[in-house]
Amino acid sequence: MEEEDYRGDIEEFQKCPKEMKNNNDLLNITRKEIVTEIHEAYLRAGADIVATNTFNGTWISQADYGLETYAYRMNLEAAKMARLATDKVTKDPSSDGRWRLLAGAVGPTNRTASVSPKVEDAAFRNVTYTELMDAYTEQIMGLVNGGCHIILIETIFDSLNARAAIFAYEEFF
Amino acid sequence: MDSKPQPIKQYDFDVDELWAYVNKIFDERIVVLDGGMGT
Repeated sequence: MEEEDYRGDIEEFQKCPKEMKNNNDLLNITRKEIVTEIHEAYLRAGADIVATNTFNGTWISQADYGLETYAYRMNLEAAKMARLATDKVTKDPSSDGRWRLLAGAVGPTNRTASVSPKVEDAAFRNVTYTELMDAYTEQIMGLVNGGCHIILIETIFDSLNARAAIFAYEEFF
Repeated sequence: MDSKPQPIKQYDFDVDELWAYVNKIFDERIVVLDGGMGT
């Protein structure tokens, strides 16, 4: 997929000054049909649980693209479309009757709370625990409001980031 | 400007039923999760 594929035919994204290529979470808004097709392929292949396309769906990660204000919407739309896919396959007479579930993926973000990105300044941090809590809470709300059955906190290589995600989850519920 | 989103007050599925189902299938067999970056 190329730059224009990520932007889709939505004017607000066509005007964004930063490069959108590889912002896969944006596809939850601009190219829903592609994401839905992937979910359905996994479900038809036998997946019990599919995860939303929201690995970078926090305002912290989306800030790289200048789309931090779209994070909630990306998660909401991702969950809604994936939930339609799980419900469709669950109810499909040709399916085997298993309940197909949706997990809302919560990823690591592109910043780490425990490690400095500056080798010359070990005490420097480019994200705070409070910011991570805020970002994860917003993401979880979008995923839950969109219909996720499960929240999947995954691949968080920084234990303090992971703690913020778990705490945000606990506080949310 | 959009107002700040609020959490939904009610799910469209039974949480207790979901919890029982997830525990059951994890006890019974290998549960297949789609292959994202971390899975």
